[in-house]
Amino acid sequence: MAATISFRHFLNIAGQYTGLITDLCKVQDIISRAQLLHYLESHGIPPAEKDGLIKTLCRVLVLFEEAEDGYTVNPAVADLVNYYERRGRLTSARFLRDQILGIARLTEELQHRLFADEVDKNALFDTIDDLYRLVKEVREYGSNHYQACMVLLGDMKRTGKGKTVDQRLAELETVQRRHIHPLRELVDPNAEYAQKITQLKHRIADLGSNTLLLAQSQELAQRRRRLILDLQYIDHVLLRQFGIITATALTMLQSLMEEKRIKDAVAACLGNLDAVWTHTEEQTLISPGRQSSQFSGEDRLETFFAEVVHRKLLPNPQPLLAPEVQPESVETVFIRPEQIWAQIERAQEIKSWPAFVLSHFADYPARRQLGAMTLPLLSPHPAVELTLHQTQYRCRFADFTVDLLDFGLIWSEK
Amino acid sequence: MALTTIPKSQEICQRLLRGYQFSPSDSDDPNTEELYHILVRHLPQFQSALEFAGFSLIETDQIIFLEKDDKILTNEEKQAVVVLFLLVDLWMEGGGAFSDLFQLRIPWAEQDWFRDGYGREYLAQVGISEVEAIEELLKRLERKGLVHYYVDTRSLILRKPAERLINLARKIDRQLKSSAEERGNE
Repeated sequence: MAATISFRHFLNIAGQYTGLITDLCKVQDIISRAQLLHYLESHGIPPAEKDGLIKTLCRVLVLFEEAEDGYTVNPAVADLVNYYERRGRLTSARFLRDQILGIARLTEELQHRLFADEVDKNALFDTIDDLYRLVKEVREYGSNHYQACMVLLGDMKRTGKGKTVDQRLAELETVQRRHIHPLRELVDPNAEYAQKITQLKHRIADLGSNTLLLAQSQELAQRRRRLILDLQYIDHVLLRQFGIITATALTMLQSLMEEKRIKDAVAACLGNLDAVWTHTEEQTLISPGRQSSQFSGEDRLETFFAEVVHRKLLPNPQPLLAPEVQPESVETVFIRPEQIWAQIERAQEIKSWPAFVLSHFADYPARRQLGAMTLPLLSPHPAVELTLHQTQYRCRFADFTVDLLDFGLIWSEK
Repeated sequence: MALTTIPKSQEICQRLLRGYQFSPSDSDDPNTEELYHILVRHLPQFQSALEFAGFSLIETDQIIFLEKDDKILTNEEKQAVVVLFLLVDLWMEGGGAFSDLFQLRIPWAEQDWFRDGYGREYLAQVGISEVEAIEELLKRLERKGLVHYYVDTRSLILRKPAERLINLARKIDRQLKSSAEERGNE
């Protein structure tokens, strides 16, 4: 019960002294009694009430009493206040847009007044005053709106859990409609506002050269300087921030739409599994493995594969090649040495033996031809004499090239 | 370069033969990171060596796996499809984000898998009638590279190959819708 009274009391005090508590929450260290009294004074607390208020603030746990007449702000209160203080304030984006378009309207008015045949000074000063206030308001509201929108979008991301995609989409669409969409036309560089603000900057610059007018009004000179700063802020910071809000909301929307598409697709497929099986029939969804496949003999295949690939089973697996021109009989796949000696005997004298092999044993595989070329060199025949030439013989086969000193053969039976 | 000279080629081939699907998710896993990068770097060599042994190694959506010879869907494939689709649906129904499925440990067992008129019917179609069967399947899917499975907390994180399957749902849904539209136009 006591806690309830205390909390009500806290709310009462918080409502009554919001400005003071907000200021106190900015102090991170211990607040001395003198500092505290100074804060109370700056918030208009009469001296007679100061002690009573300090006690009340301690009783409702806004302040903690520390040693040596010092105080600290309850960290829970400080966190709460600081959190909400940083949140900015949402403004209707349509209102903000209309305010900004109001600047454009006043810009035109200023132009007319500045370049009228007879300058109506009072009307001119009033227009500048209106512009000054409007631009200042837009800067303030706009900046708060940016902060509040970003916090809102962040909150939506963080607190989205527990809500369905459809709920989150609906919420985001509402936020976009109220707080973001109307800003888009302000961001567009070709839209009315962007062009007007450039004009306004020129007009304010024109004012700067009108020393006569400026000399007549101290207020005008000050407002002109402030206008330049605020316009600069709106043009360079605020509009860029509006661009960021729009882009962030769009990204969130796209990702939510994407999520919705996935969820809908998955639900639709679950409701029609037969169609899923038909559409996935030709695909490998899960590769069969040793433990899951009913594929008989896979173990054997795997072992064979591993052995072959890692050269354990067959040291040099080679594909078998058949000669392009089929020989007369199986035996002629190989050129037997007897065949070679018989050919030499028939020819009696051969000027270039490698060239002879190439033309007479053309149908045999290249390696067999190479064997025939080198036979007289490697295993001499008693009836065959070599005649060595000084010329080089070169011949290209598909897989290798033969390069050797040319030689001829003579059959002579002594 | 011959396959014999590529480091860890035997381990890679063995994993592939057990049905493991390599994917960019392996880049974050110290157990498979090196294997994945070797495989990607020498993919043509692996493809030709495996082709020689009668296997077709394919890469689709950055997922590398052995294609099965028999094009008929296995029951394991059907179960994986239903369990993954249902997991996505249940998780998002509870307000979870799709991307969290690939980043957070999802307490899958806490989901309402056997809701009457819904999950129970879909799971029954692929022969699953109890949570233990789902758990067994998820453990098998871990060996195939589709999920990270944490036995102690009964939670999982989906990996890229699972995303490929889930994306199939979108493709199939599109096809079904467009064929329904065509029928409507006729």
